[in-house]
Amino acid sequence: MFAGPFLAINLLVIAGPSLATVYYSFTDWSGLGTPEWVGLENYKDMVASPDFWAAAVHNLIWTAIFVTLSISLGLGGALLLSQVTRGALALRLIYFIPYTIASVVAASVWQNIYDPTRGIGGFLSDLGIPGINDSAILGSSSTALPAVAVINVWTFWGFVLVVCLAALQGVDRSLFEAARLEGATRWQQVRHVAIPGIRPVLVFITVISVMFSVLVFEYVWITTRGGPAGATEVVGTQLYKEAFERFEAGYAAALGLTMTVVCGLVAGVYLLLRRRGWEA
Amino acid sequence: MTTGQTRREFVQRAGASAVAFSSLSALIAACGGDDAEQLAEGTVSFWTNITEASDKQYLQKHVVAPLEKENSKITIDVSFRNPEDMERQVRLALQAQDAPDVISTNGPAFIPELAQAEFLADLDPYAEEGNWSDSLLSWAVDLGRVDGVLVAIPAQLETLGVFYNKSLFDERGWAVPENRSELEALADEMMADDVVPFGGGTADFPQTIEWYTSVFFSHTAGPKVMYEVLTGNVPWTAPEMVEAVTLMQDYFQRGYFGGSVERFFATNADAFHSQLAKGEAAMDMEGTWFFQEADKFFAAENADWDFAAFPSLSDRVPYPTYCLGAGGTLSINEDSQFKDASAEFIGYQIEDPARTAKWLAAQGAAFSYPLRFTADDFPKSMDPRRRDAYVSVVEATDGGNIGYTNWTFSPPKTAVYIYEEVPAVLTGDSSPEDFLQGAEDTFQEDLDDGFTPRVPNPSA
Repeated sequence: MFAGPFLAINLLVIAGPSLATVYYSFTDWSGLGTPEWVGLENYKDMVASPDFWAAAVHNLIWTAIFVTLSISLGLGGALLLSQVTRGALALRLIYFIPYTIASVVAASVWQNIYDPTRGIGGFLSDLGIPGINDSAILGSSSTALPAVAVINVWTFWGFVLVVCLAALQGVDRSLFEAARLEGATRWQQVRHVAIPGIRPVLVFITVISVMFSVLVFEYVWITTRGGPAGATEVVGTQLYKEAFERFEAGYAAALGLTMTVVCGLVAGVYLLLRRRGWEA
Repeated sequence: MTTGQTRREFVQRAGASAVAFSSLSALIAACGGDDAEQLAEGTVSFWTNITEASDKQYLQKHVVAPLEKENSKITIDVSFRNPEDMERQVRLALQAQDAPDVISTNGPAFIPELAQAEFLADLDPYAEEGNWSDSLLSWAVDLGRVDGVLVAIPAQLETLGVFYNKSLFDERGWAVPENRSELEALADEMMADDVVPFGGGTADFPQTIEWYTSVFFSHTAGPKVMYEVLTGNVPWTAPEMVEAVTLMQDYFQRGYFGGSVERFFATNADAFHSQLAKGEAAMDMEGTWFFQEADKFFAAENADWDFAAFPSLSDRVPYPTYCLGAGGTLSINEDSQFKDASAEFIGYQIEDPARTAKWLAAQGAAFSYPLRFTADDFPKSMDPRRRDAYVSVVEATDGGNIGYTNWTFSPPKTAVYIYEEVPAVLTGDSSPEDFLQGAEDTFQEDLDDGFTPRVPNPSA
């Protein structure tokens, strides 16, 4: 009974628009006037569109960079920080700060870092380091996507570190002691004690990282808007352009629904793994 | 400013009032004034994409306040919107039947769809009564028509040209290029001197690339070919268009714009404006909206600037040729309760070129309506470089040496296609032929939708 009002609000703000999106994805709605039912046309167009697949591939590349770097840096930092006794709290706080910075601020800071004149390229060039005089990191099709993904990694890895550190502190100390007495090296302790001990947390972080990568929008939009020449176009930015530049709201709804289904599949795999006890 | 129906309503109201308040009616009559002035009333809501603080203050103080003083029954409720979001907000508001009385858009390309959805009121009665076609340039009136009905007034008159660092040009003895061979010779000389020929970049606003496509299309393919292309009589894949895009690709890959393709995509407006003022770049191909900011950048470097037409890049193009552009429109919401008052507000901004010229001189692009300006309309104190540019656009209109900006004359899907896809041509990831084939396919979709704007004929 107590859940009733919350359920009603959720139905209103989530179920309503969600159902509307499902409906619009089967129409040719432009955002104006009455939608006309077109069946699966938007989905057929999407599957046949090279732009969609190019954007989806960019999401995959983003996922690979974001998941790998965030978890490697976060886990590595947590393992190192778990050895620190003095100033650990301050260090945790410092590493966590980027996570609290608004995406628009973080993206703007990195835009300046990447700026060909005022940024790191110009600075290193001034120091006499050759070969980077003309470096325009966000202007090059080959470097723009990883460069923007790195911004997202920078804001997220501190969060991973704090969560992993908290999980590591929950691992039974006697297991490390036993491993050490058995002659395990530091790496073997990490591999056979620490990582298995925090596996549920790592799986969870991996799952949400993949979901964030599928839904990524703001860092790309703020820094490159999908450019140059579509080099950083992801499905999220493509959706926005379809909805608010080309005014193809029906097609945009189909893209959005597809992103939701992919995220649902990722969540489904996670739940399946949990049910089978893989993460424990 | 009124329609006949409203006049009848007024007469009925005035008659009833006369019975009960004859003395008051007599007083109103004694005060005199134009009937239309007295009829329009109401609080007119108006959304605008003006962003500069000084423009906002000027609008309130020098446009809204005098109008409200002249028409005591009219109040203008101005709401300032982010230009990037305004189009989306207007569409959502229209769909939700909560749109303002005076509807602004970011350009005429958006108008046909709104008109076909019957969101825009017929402006013809107001235009006739206010003689708007006497003050507006003919192409602007045509541009506001959909299926023969005037539904929008183009706003923010713009053209594209070359801002150049005059101090640098004088120092090096350079002359402003007027044709392709002069441009290429000068650009090569500049690059040899380690000066970027044209500062430029799209890092903060990728649609900026439309400036370049507009100029290359119109100044290479030529006004007549572009007219035929934009009216669907010649395909986008015509040899003249291929030549235009190939030349654009070539110039970008030579580094004429921004120094290199990569740097162009990574440089923002403040950065390339600074380069221009410092003399690191010699020229900047940009629109008349930069007049307002040019002094700020050049004063900081103690340098001088000037403005000229962009060179003709083929024999098909007379010099000077100016691309026509309108960065906005004004319409009246079909659901508005205050159509007459809304028309008063629009009319106040466009009926008197001398009045508008004063605003334009004081501020800039935000107040630049496509009116039949003459040099005498502008205050004597106005910067002659700015005055001459606007007068040149009017003269170009009369002489037929006009080009077409993408955001004004390309239909909506085609306009988006151009600015989204042309960067791949510049990076070499797409060929001019493939790009233009895509433009042709998209244009045909727009033609099928009936969303193509009316294009002025340069031969007319």
